[in-house]
Amino acid sequence: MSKALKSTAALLVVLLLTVPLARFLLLPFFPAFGPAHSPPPGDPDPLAPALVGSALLAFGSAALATPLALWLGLLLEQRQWRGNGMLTALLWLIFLMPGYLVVSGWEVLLAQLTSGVGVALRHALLGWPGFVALNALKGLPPAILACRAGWASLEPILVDSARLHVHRRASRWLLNARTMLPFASVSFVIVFVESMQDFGLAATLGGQLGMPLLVAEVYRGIAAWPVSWPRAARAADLLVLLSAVAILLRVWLGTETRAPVLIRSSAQRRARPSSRERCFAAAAMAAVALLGVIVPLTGFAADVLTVQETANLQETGVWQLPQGSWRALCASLLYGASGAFLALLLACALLAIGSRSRAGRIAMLVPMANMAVPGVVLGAAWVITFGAPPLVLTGTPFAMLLASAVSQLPVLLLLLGNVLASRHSALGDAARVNNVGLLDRLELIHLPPLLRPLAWGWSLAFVRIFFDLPLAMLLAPAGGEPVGVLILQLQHGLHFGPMAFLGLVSLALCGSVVTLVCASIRVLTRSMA
Amino acid sequence: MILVANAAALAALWPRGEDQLVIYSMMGPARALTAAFTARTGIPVTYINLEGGPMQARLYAEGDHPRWTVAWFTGEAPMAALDATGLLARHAPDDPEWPDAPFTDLARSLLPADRAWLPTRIGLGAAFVAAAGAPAPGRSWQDAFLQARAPGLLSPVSSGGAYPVLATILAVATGSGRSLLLGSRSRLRIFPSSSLLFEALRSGDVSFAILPSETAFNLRRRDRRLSVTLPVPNTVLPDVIGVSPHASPTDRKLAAQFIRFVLSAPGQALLGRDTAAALGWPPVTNAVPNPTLPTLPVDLVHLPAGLWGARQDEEIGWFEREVVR
Repeated sequence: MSKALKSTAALLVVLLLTVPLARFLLLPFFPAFGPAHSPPPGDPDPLAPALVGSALLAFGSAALATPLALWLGLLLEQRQWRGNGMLTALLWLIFLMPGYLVVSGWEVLLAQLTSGVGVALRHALLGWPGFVALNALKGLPPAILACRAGWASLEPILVDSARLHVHRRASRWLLNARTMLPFASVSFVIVFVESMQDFGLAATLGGQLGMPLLVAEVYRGIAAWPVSWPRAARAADLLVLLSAVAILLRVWLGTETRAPVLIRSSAQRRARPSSRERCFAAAAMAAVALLGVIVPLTGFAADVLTVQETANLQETGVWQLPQGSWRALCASLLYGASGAFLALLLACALLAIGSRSRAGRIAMLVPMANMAVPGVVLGAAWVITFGAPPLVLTGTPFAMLLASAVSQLPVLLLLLGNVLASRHSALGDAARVNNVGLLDRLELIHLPPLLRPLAWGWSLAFVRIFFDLPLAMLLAPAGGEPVGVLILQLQHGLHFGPMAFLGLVSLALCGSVVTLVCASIRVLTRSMA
Repeated sequence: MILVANAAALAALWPRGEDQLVIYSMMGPARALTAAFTARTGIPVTYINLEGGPMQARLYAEGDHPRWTVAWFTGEAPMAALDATGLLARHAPDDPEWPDAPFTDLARSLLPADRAWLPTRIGLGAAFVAAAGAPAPGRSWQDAFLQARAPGLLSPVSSGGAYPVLATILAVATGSGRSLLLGSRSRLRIFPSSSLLFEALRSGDVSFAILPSETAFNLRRRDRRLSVTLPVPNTVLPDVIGVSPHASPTDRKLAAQFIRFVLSAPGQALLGRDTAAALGWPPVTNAVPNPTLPTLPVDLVHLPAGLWGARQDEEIGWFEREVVR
């Protein structure tokens, strides 16, 4: 296929994926892009305070998470530490748990603190310090993935050369930092953007922050009576603008500091950690476990187990799955698996085609806007665009699948961009010259070194689609709602026992799938080494 | 193999093709009700339960190409907004497609002039829920606010069910609702969800909370140590149901059958089992009220839905600026 044709195909795909959101974002300038029937918009509140508040809090979360992600990524990727498996499992568990669940658990436990110091602690943790810390905690798993990809792609020869020729430890640290800057910037952008657009934490803690947030303004415009699409679109425009600044900065840093590193061709020998590293690692793991898992789950479990149910309720017991659970779990599994695969395919195709020209690299930035807006905006934008002729997709699984894939595409582009870019372009040339087919080249040459980052990318997208709520509420066809919708219905009906049990089963199922996939890839990688 | 698996997944997720009555509802799961309706009439029902916000987003986004036939809300404000933008079917008084029922006087007074919606259950805009072990507040708004150690409210930003409470306080609370809220600002606790407010009530972190009556009675059902008092004056908050103007004649007939069933005695009994409307009062004279509920107060204020719906943004903005921050 000629280069022009490939670029055109890539451009068409990019347009298809971004037209719904673009149409929504242009609403303030072209009101005709909105739904045909909308109430007249009222006087909008200024959005400047929300812009400043969102930017500051997101910056704080990203600044807190990135150094941790770098250090934990190094530990997991280049140190032979016994706790690596446990730490990885904890991070995935934090990643699996919805943000509102983490905060709810903390709220329940902190509600018990009524003494002076306890009250101060409660105000701090449920105010902006807690908001920043919880967003950093939630963003830590994907941030670590980005950094792990960077540490994994470093050839041992570079590390050894630095140790040999650069005598001062501080200089070696700076050299490593410079090498890792593209990956650290990816971590920073992921946490920054996701902190800004996450509505779960903003809804739970927003009232106690004392400052407005852009994501709350978006939700207020689109989901409060009376609806105001232009207001929601203006707030979404500002979210995209802030994210664009962060992403462009990341692109510039990546261009300026990229070092020619190679995907390592064989399993890397891991160094044994020093005693100081072991102490820090154990402390980090304990902190992550306590703050991200033990406290929230304890609070949540305590809340569930002390609720008094009456016999009047037509309800299942606490340890039984509510009606419709298995159908919802199956729907989540299928949407998650297929949506993640589609997102991965699109990301790899865009990266492969887009990296060959400046126009292609710029075009790859366009889908990033999907990451900057909350899911309810993306869902509504897709309903507006694909709910009417000429292309009606709503009411079919296509809308949910495509929108889910599009929502995960930006994170995958960020995660896999550096990994694919550091692949030496000549790896497959010899095979191509010798008439080895494309599929064989992919299977034997290109894929093996990329299996682990691809598996991580698929797993990350799978988990997020599995538990997705806003897109599911707006786009899932009737009768096929994923599990997140059912969990929310149970929560609103105050059916805590069945809700908690369904949540636990969902976590276990999701975790099992991810463990199976990552373990399979690990076995496959070792067999190829 | 991966492509085959994905194709199989797509086929498995494809919705069933038969004609169904599609209902978008905020009322919570209603399996018993819809199953009984299907068993009685043979009409399959697709019941999509959504929160208020996503439901609104979906309704307006679908616009002139709706996938729903029936919309079912708590509160008239969203229905009035849909009606104002032409997204609800209107009916003449003698329209045979539009079901009539033996409404109570109160329910009949709630019928809009264009008959775009009907009440299916009656609730109240506000109820006082006293914490476990705390004395029940009196029925007076002023006494309740002034004497409360720590009143609790749901945030109208994150909880769609909280605005009716705010509207009730601002519209009818004696002593001026704004003054009451501003005067208790330092003691007021705002919660993003009813589950967290419930926990605070059980632990005594708040002394009493103000919630819509159906939510209040639901919390009491889950913890008998809580007590519920109905303040005076109060507003009426009905659950309402309407039909899409783009529904085909066949779908309109199906919708009318469903609404007739909801308003019938067996329908009201089933409604009282498993939906969010379980703890409200029936709008029809031929249904038996829930014996665990007090008698419906007589002197209730009916807030104009269009007016208070249009003011929602302004009032929530005031609340956030002056009370929360």
